[in-house]
Amino acid sequence: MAEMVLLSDTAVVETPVAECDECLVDLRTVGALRLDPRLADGDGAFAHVRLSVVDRLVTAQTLLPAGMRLLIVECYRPLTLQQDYFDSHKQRLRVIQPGHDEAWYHRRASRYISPPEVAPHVAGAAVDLTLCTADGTELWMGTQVNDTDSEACHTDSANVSAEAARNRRYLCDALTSVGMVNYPTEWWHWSYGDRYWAHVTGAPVARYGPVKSLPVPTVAAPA
Amino acid sequence: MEFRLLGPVSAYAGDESVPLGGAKPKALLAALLLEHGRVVSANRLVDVLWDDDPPDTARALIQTYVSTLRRTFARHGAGDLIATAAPGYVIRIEPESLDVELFTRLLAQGRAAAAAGDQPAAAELLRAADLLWQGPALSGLDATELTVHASRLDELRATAVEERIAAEIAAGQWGDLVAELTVLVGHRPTNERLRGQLMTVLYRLGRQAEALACYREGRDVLIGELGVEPGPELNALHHAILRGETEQLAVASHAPELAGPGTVHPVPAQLPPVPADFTGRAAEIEALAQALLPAGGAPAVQVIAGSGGTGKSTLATAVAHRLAEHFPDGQLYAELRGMSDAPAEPGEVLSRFLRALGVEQAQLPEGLGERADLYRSLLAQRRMLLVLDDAASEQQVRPLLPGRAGNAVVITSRDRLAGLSGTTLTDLRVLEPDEALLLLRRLAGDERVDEDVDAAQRIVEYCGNLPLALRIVSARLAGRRALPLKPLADRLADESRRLNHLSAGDVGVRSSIELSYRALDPDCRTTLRRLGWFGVPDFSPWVVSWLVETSPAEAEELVEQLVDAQLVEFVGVDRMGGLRYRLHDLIRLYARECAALEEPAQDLAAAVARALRGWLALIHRAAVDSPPAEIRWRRPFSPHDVAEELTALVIADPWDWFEAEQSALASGVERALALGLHDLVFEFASARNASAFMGANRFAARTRVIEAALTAARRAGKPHDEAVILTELGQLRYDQDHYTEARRQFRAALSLFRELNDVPGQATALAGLGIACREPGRFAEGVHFLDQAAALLHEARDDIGIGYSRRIAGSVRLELGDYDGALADLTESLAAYRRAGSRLGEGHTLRTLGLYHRARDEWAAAERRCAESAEIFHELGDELMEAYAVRALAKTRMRRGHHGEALPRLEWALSVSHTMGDRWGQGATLRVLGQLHLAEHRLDLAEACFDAAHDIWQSMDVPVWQARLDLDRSRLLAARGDTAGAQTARAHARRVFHDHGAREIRELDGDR
Repeated sequence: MAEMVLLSDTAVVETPVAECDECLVDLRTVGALRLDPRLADGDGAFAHVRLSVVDRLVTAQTLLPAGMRLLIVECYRPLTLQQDYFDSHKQRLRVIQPGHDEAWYHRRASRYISPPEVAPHVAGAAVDLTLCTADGTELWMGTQVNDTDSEACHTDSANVSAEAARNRRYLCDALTSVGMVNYPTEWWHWSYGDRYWAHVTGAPVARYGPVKSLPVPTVAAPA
Repeated sequence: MEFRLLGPVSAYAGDESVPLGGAKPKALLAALLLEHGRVVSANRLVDVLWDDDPPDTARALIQTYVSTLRRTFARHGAGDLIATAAPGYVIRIEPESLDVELFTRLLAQGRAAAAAGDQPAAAELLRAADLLWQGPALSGLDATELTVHASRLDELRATAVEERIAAEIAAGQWGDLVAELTVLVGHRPTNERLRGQLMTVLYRLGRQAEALACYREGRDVLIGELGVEPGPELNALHHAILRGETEQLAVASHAPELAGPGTVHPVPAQLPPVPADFTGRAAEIEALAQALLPAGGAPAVQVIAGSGGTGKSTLATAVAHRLAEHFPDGQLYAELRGMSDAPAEPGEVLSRFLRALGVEQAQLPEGLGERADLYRSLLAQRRMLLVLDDAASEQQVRPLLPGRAGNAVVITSRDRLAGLSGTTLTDLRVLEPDEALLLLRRLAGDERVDEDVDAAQRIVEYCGNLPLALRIVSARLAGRRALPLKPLADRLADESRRLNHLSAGDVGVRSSIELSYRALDPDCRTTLRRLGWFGVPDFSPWVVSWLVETSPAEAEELVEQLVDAQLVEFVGVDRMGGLRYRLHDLIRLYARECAALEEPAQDLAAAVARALRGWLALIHRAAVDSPPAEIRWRRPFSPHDVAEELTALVIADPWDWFEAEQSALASGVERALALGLHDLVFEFASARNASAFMGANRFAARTRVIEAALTAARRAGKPHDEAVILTELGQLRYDQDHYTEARRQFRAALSLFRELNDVPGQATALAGLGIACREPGRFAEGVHFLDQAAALLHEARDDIGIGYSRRIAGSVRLELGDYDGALADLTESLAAYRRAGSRLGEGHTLRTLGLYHRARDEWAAAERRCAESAEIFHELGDELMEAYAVRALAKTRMRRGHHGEALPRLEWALSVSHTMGDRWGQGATLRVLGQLHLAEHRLDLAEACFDAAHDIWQSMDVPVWQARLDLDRSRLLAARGDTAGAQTARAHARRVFHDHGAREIRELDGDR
């Protein structure tokens, strides 16, 4: 854990953002990618992601073995929703592990939920996803998406079956090839263009900052 | 007297024909001759002449015939040939006077020569044997008894003809064989050997379709008349021709003058000339010559190592010339440029060697390993001498070494190449002082040296006993007979003192170069400096004219002056008949230093820029003018005037020009990169017309240029240029059938274009991503990218772009079975191409529309569209696309039950794809051929075609096509009654269709 860069690390938080105003695309209009409904919200916010991320996802899918596809679970989260998640998680920690100061709870919560101001999902830069067959049957990846109860959700965890490890490798190879970065504590979380991405890749600035809420122009191509 | 039985029975005394009488006396003579030296009984003679029904006077008649013959012979001075010997007669002749004997002897000699591997000799002997024949054996006789003999002789003749043809083919002399073989095969259609020979010759003449047709005809005859299928050899040959194997194509001809119009390639003889005054090194030459002579076991590999200027290359060449006659298959020579900035890539060298050995450009394998394998197997059949000059390292040389004995290699290098096993090293030192003096005598003349031996010795010493230095210095003396040696020696002494901080060897050469350089007139000096600065491996006078801004004629003058001064070497004449030159490394280094010291950087940069612009101008002029079918970069290019003369030459033969120039061109671009001329390098790489014209399989040069441009863009910090080059790189990878790599590059380009808000760039990159999804079967993703591209191009009103992106999108939708969407795409594409006036685009879209209609079982419409498409491509002279359209048309007609013309048309289409090196097209055509054979129940032929298609496609990432092939094979297996096998193949295909979303999945599931 000591080596991993967390979303709440100062270096990440302090990475400058030069918002490029790239539009968010509604993946419900992108036939090539499959969406999972488990976290769907009424407005379809979960299905929105930045245009350049869409390019990467679709390309990455072509780099998977034939018959294997990406299954998108959640992309954009409005700022308020992220705030709710963060606060809830801190609250849960206060209950399970009492006796620490606020900074500790903030940092601890940041392992799994990003502080809203730097949250990649809020920037429309991140995707939680997994793999499925051409028919949509999910493949086994070692844990469910968003299951952080054990450390098996860490991407490099040795506590997963060979099949799960192999599937994770396919996912990693494809997404790394297209220039996305993984949050090492969550095998399902990948991003491009956000602060975390900028820090990890050494880019001077992040391209995407927080998007407060939809509606945001959601055309399929930039003007 | 001479006797002839191989034809009408006849006799000659000198030139005069000897009358033999009628059929009976002739038959008698023939009977005697066939058993010459042995007694033939009178009874036998009676049987021969009269069969079962002799007259009563038979005996008497025999006697009469004999005495008549004797009298006739006597009149010609040979009266006692026929002797009476109980119980009959005997004729005694010199064996050579009977043509049958001569024939038998020549046949035996010919066979022996063939067995010993001397095919040309065998061919000649067997030709001579054949020339003895005047007609069917023993013709003009009415003697049944002799028919057996006549048949035997005729059979022997036929066999001799087959063997002669085999020898001629092996020797590469197949010029006139087509006509002869066609006639022979016509007379003996079930003879598989002759047919195989005809197929081979047709194939080697590039007439693949006819070769295939010949096989089919033979198969029909064998099945029809004998009820058997063709034998294994003929089948193997057929398979090889279907697959388009290169080894069948590449054979060296021994005697080009004998070979006639059909010969493909002469014996390679690539050695540069040896200087006339080459002197000394007697011991080394002897030793090397001995060591290189073919002995047995491993190939002889000699390394000549030594420092610069010691004469390694000259020695190697001299030895090679001396040994040339021992290597009848020729010599290969390559400069490996070990001491230059850009040593030769083994792959490039192999491609040149392979072409010299007869392999067509389009059939060159792509990978280094495959090239090396083909090269070694071609060498294994030959005895060749290889000279590899200026090797950089063991790694560079290893792929170029032959595998088997019979070939010999001489390598020169600064390095000892200790890492190569099985080589012998000659460490070439400087000349012995007396050898050096001898060389000076040769160069400067005996009288001059005798006049002042002391000065001569000093010169030799200051030159460090180095041949190169001596040559350069002596050039000063050439043509000035009166000039004494002393002043030269003094000046050299000064130079040497000046350079005394250098090592001894370097001093010698540098002093001499320096002296020579100083003595040049200013224009020559400028020329030399700029040539050194530019540093290309070889150059034509055109490049010089650009570097120094003179007319081509003046440039040639300048170069010749430099040649006279021994500072530039003449290399030879290139494919276009132009002159080519190069600089020795030491001179190049020197010239480069002078350039840096004596000329301002911007002048030098301008010179290099002019050279590059000259090339660019030629490339642009040579490219096709008509509206293209693909998206082009819209960018201005800086114009540059090029002499009309050169432009005309290049336009007349752009392929040959590029061939001659590509190495220099790639090196020039790399040099421009090193000099920081980023914009120019970028312009080179983004001349899209250029890459099309650099063309199929010229990937090596194209890769170098693109990679240089990528580095340039990155160094210059120009993301837009980088994005353009990444797109070019993606296109290159696509052309190489490396679809995954292509997608990676296109995506990287797209990313940059997005960041830069460059919409046209995004459209191009998106279109590239789209098409790089199609062949690998990633249909949904392909449509995603192509639709985005189309949207952008519609907004930009780029009709060519719309035509292209909608067409590809339509073809992908067709794969998915989205018929309505496909039709909409294709209709819009056609309209857009028509608005843009692109006939080429129209042709493409019409063909895809034909495929659409066919998929919907709309046969009439399909035929119409495909025929229109073929028409257009034919009009435009685009043979490859015409072949595609023809294939589509043939398959459509097949579906309607019209198999008629299909076979020859498809075989033609196959040979076009083969000639153009279009692997996917070959596979597709073989598949349709297989379907046709299957439909007409020729199962073995169907299998051969499907197997050949499989072989080609399995090395490419085309899973959906392979699945379609599996489906065809399952039908074949079903036709054979192998239900289990058919089901397995079908299930396998179904899985692939399912995983890729191909339309066949609905058809397959619907069948259940």
